[in-house]
Amino acid sequence: MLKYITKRVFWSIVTLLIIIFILFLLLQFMPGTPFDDEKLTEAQRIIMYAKYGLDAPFWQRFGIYLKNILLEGDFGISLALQKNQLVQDIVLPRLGISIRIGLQALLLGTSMGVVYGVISGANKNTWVDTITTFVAVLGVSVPSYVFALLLSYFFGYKWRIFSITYRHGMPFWSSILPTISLSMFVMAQTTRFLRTELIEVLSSEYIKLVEAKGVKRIKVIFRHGIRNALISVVTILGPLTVTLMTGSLVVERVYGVPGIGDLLVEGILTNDFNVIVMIAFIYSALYITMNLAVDILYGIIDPRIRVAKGG
Amino acid sequence: MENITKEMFTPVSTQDHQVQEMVFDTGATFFKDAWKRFRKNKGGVIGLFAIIFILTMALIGPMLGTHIYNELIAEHIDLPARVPFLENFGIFDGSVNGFNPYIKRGLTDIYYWFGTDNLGRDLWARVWMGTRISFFVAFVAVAIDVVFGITYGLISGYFGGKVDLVMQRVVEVISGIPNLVVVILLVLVLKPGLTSIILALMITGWISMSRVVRSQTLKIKEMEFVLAAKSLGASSFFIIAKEVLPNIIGQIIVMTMFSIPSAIFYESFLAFIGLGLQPPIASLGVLISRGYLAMLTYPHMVTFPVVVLSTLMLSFNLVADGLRDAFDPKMKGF
Amino acid sequence: MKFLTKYLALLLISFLVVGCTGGKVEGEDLILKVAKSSDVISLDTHVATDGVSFEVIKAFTEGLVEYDADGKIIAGVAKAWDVSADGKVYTFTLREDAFWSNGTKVTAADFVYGFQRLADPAKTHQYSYLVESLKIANGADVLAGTKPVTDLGVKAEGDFKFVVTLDEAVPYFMQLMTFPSFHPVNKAFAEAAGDKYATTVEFLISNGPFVLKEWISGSLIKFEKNDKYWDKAAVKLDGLEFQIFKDYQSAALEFEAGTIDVTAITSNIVDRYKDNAGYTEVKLGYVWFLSPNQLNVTMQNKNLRLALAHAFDRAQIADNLLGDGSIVATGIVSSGLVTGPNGKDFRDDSGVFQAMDVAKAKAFWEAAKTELGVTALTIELLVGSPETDTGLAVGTAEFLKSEFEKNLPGLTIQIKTTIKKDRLDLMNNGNYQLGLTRWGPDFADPLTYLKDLFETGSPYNYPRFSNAEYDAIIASVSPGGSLAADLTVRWNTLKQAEALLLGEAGVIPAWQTGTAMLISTKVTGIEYHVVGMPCYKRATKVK
Repeated sequence: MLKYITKRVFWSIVTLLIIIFILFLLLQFMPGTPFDDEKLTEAQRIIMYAKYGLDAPFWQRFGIYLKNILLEGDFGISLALQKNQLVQDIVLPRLGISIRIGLQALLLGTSMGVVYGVISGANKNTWVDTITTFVAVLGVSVPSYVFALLLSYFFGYKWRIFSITYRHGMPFWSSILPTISLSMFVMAQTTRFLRTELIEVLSSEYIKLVEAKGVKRIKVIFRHGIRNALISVVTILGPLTVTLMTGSLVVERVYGVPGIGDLLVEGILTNDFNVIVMIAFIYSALYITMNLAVDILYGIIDPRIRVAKGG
Repeated sequence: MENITKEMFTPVSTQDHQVQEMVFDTGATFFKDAWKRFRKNKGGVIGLFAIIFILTMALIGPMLGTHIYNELIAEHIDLPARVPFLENFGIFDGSVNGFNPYIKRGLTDIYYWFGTDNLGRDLWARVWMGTRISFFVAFVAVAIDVVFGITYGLISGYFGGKVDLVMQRVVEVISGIPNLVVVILLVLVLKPGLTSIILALMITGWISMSRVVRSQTLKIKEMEFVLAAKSLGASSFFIIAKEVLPNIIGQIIVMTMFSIPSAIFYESFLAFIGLGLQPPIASLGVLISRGYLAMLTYPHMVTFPVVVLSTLMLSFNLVADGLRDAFDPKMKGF
Repeated sequence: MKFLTKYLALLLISFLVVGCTGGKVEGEDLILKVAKSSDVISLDTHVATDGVSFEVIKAFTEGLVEYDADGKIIAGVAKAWDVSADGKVYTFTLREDAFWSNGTKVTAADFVYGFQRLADPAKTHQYSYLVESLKIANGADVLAGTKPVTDLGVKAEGDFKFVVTLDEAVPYFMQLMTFPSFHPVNKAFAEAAGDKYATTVEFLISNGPFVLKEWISGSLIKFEKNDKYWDKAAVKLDGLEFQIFKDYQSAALEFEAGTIDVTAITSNIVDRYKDNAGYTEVKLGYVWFLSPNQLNVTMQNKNLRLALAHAFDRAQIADNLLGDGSIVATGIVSSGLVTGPNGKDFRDDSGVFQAMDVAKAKAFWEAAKTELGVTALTIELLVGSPETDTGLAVGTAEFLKSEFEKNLPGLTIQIKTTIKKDRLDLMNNGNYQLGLTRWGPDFADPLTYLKDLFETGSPYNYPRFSNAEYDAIIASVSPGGSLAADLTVRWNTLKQAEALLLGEAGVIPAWQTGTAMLISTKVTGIEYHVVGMPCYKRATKVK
């Protein structure tokens, strides 16, 4: 097990380094420069390039950048968004906001998903099942920003129940709508997944045996069905985190949440290289770590998986 | 204990046999059976009809309208939806926030079924043309995805060993970068436009297809009939083309159906942050992002494209679900 | 099922409990809350270039002189100033009761350091060119790096006398002294902070009406009244807050709810608020124009440029498409910018150019086609998307396309959108045909447009307009020029220059921006200017 984990961690780090390289390379081809401005002259731009070390050859720049990240944890300074500020000073406080909303959405989404999934799976092929299944498909297929638009229109504009935009003074209250918008997909995926799992578990031999013993169905579902089905829900946590990250890009934009998704889009639109790389790095690291954690966790829960999943 | 009567027994459904046969018979009956099962899936059928309807509207919709596509009429800006006959029931009567700009501007004989935008363009025509463009982007991107993803997955899965290891590392790295980041950067690097959007969607889209194909290939290549073909001296190409591919076609179709809505979504997201097609070409995403800016004043500008987009994505998912159950009832939900 | 119910109940309760504590009760302080659509880019007076940053900087710093509500120059840190007879030496007498927020006095040395820091070529400050356009002695050489910054024509005579020496008399010198780039910088503080100076609130001191208390990236900029400010009696507000709303609609709804006192709104939602008691339209100095790139062979054709100039309905853009207080630009110099010796606004006095005239446009178009030897033509129109501020650049481009194609048969406009940075890059390098761009005035003189944008060799000359006659006229009215001394002659010559430029269609102005604002009826005293930033110093609010 330890050997497996070491190997996975090693490869994750290699993957991350390659990702940084690819991003760095892509940014070379971005149109425009961070310094383009209505009142900046060509001569000034050249001096600025030199000042920020952007005129050095690609490999040299990449070397310095990598060295700064690895040895000093220094991601450089912002070139356009908040000029001359350390990128980590801008990104880290915003990361907190994004993670909080992400976790809220994960919690809300999975818990609702578990409820729906159980109801739906336990009442297979009834009208309850049909409705929950439909809601789940709806959640999977309708883009998160459409939910965001709908929720903000009705709850924010029409009925004025929640704050439409994220407000600094009330981090929870104003994050309810973004949380719900983000959680729709999580809810739907969990529901669908749990339903399939539960149906499979409930039709397995041992459950049939338990039922044959005369245990009440509701008890069977809770004692045996859900427990086993829930284990497999762990496996979809990885992909769900990715969806949450992607979703946050959109939802943060609609609700004006000052998180990193919104910052990333701004960074891209203003060629703020260092901001882009750092946030993309965080996203990738989160994703890779999450997958790693899920695989290890699942390996611990269910030893059969370890060999089969391998590498 | 009750008496056992004859009525308590019913004949075993013939379907079970067909499922068994399916594995060995990849001919026309396979699709026929799948179709039979698909037809029983209400959601899938509704979805299919919805897709056909929207596709038809995308093709002929702009011609059905009474206004010219992309014609700017200054006097007709910001008009809400107004439909003859329906207006008598108090809906689609052209009023917004309590007043009716049609009457106020003296346009009593003018009808815009979906209203107009802030440049006075007919939204009916723009929504259906936008649907057409969204479809186009998604279909082309997915078509390329599918071809590339299948090839990649087949090679990786069939040959295994070192080849597989290297190819899977590549997949791991690419999938490690959040799709949206790659898509946005690529669109910028390649200059916003139809081609670059399709390219960007393609570069990120093939991964999941290749994964499914690979795992299915891994499973199938261990089966007896492949071994038999191998021992008879069939070439790798022959085995892949004749034995492996036909057996995973079901999964490929299902994955394709799942890819289309995701391509439509990515395109609309790009539009939402202001990157994408060159105006005046507008996809559903472009219409939504423009309409969103006026949601408070003229909700009709965002409502119609959102409804079409959501219905479309919902329908594709319903069909994909239905197909999945039809092709392989045991394939797990994802 | 029990487990589930419990779980749900718990979830619900946690939502409610935290939800209730979420709402914050406002204190009794008089705090003006302003919605902004974008965040501050820099708090450094020299690094900042955008409107929001300048607005924030103006709130916590003060220059030698300031504008009053009517745009007249009033005392700031300088309580009095003298100009030498030849107009080349300005002597400012500073007030002795002006303090920095760390308790040290604001002295002439702070201004010397500020001016030198601005001009320092190694620092590449975007507005350093102002040193040259102000003709500050040795300014050009310092910028070019051939002379050290200490040679710049600014000096401190004692702690409270600041002297600026110019090479030529500059009529708009005093106006520019209100510009944030010429505000004082505390040398000791700035040097101690090093690279961190003005990057965060800790590395910042102020000498203005407010002090910056908090800057939360992407959401909030919070000021308190500055107790060390010399004129604190005039400051009625206890605090000032800039809240960042990326979406104008949200800001408008917060305004409706009363949680925001001031916000701008976009034309998309103006219709909803036109009748609101707080609705105001504020005229701004930005002029949007089509820039025909004269490096491009096609656009070198004068008749083609003239055809474009006369072929679109500017009123449609200003009134219908924008409808936010924007006005038709009848020339390139913005309306409300400067009043001449005859008491008239330059815009009103100079006249209307390139008014829409389809017949005329068609005639020019026919001539252009003959000269170019074509029957049909495709022109690429470069537009930024998503462009800041209005977000309507794309819509305008679509309108222009429709107008051009309708009125000039055979012409096809291909819209090319790209991010703003890329648009500027392309325009800077001359890789475009026709571009939609804007220019905001830096000082109240027609030269801010006529010279900086269109003189041969000017770094901001995107259209690469080059006309010997025009250059000669501009040189004659520039500081030190032959006609610069006689204000009436200069005024008339400037009008002549604009007429020449627009007659050549070296530029095709489209509209001058206005902003539709919602300002709570409880709020009074915010001062908006065509040139320069809004001023909150004298603003007040009733409860």
